Parts: sequence; structure tokens; C-alpha cells
Amino acid sequence: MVDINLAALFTNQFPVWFYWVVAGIQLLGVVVSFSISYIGFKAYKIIKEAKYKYFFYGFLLLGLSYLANVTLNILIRLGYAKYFVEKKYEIFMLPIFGAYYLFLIGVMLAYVSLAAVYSEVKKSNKLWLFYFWTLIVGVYTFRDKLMFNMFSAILLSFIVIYTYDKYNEDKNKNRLLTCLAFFCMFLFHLFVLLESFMPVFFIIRNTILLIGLILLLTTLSKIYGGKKK
Amino acid sequence: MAERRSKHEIIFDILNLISSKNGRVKPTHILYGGNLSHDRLKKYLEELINGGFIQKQEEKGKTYYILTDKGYKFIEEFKKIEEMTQAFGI
Repeated sequence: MVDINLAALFTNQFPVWFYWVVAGIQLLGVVVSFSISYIGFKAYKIIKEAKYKYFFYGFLLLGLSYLANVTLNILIRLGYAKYFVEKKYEIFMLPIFGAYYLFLIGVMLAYVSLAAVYSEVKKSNKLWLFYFWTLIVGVYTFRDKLMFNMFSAILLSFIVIYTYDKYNEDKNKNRLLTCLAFFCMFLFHLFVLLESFMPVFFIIRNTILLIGLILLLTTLSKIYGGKKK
Repeated sequence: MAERRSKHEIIFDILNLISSKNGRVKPTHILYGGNLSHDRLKKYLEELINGGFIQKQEEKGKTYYILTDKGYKFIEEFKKIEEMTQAFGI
């Protein structure tokens, strides 16, 4: 039995309605990630280049992770998870742990995939090594929220740098939006460091994440709307 | 020096050219507008016909190429892919 302090998951430092707002933000993450992954899938289906495959995988994993997280969040807020904990039936806790693991590992593998899209790593047959070590780190981050967020921030920092370089190539406004979106996601993970000192950073982090998702949504709307840069 | 076009970019250029001429065009228009040699163009046109993106039509001894629904759909999807590639810098 894993000795995780699940009580921490159920304590509310903020009004309950705020956690529902967070669930809404995570749901937006699901919609945006799956929408982007769908375009990536169509691109890979037609063009068959590896970069589109990893792009598709990245946002698909991100969408699945957000889905797992929002499901877990709703279960906790509705009180079902507490039922499982109080009953102390380990088998009932498996779905909760499973969802949480999917979220942790899925997010990190998603960032590795996206980093592979922009870097030269995709050309190497050693990419599987990055996935493997990310999986290992993911397994151990279950006990350590800080480790998960710092590892994610490190991966995202590379993505932010790559996308900023891409923006500098031709000053495409859509590329700037993409870079800023990933920067928001980077700050979302980085500000966990400050959350332990000032709980208000939980609100700030999620607000920044919402901004990042809206930026991605804006880019998506330009793609589907057929608007040029 | 201009970058070489990929196969899919060439296909898109050909289909887009036909689309810009109301979906019906003579081979010479594609030859001049597509920036391809005659042999390469012939090869691509055969591939597009086999793929169902265009149809060949003979009318009063003249040949025309007509864009099919599949061809129109490819143009729209490829435009979105291009937008996505540009936006995400991939």
C-alpha cells in the first residue's frame, strides 16, 4: 500500500467553487489538446513525416492527461474518492491512483514528444531512451509533486526556447502565440515552488494556465478560420 | 535560392491552380503555372487521377482536368496543415 497522504487532496484551502473553475480550465485543456492532436493526426496521415507523428502523440498524451486529471478532480470534489479512502478497500483506490499516474506520466511524455518535434532528437534512434527515463521519473513523482512539476518545467523550457527561435525566424504572430502559450505552461509548473510558501500561487498558476490555453485556442481558431498571420 | 518543394507541396500547387481556374483547366495552364517539366507534370497528373483528386475530360478534341470533391477536400486540409505547421513552427 502506498503511504500517500491523500488527506491533502481533500482539504480545501480555497472556496469549493474555485476547484470547479480549475476543473473547467482542465476541461478546456482536454478540448484544446485533442483538437490540436487531431490536426497533427491528419497531417501525419497525409504527409507521413515523423515530426507530425510526435506532434500528434504529444498533444494526444496531453489531452489524455488533462482528461485523467479533470476526472480525478471531479471525483474528489463530488466526494466519491473520499468514499473509497474511508472504506479502505485498496482495490477501489486503484482507479484513483491509475488516473493520477496517467496524468503525471502522460504530461511528461507529452512534453518529451513535443520537445522531440522541435529538437534534433527526433532524428536519433535514441528517442526511446528519453521516453524510458521520463517514464521512470514519472513513476517516482507520484510521491513528490515538486519533482513532477520541476521535471515538466525543465522539458517545457526547451520547448519555449525552440518555439521562440522559430518565432525569431520570420516574426510570425501565430508562432509568438504558440511560444507564449508554452511559456504559460512552463510558469504553471514552475510556480509550484512558490505555492508551498504562498498558497495564493495556486490561483495564479491556474490563471496563467488558462491564459496559455486561450492562446492555443486562438491559434486553433486562426487555423480553422483560415486566417493568415 | 528557393527551397525545393516537397511532393505534397507540388500536389497542392497543382490542385490549387486548378481550383483557381474554377476547377477546370487545360494541361498547358498547369504546365506554365505549376513550374514543372512536362515529364514530371505528366507523372503527377497520372498520380492525381489514380488517387481520385482530378478527372480527365475530353471535349471537342481538347483535354481538360477537373478537380474532384476529393481534390477540393485535400486543398482545404492541406491549407490547415500548412497553417498549423507555420503557427507551431514545426
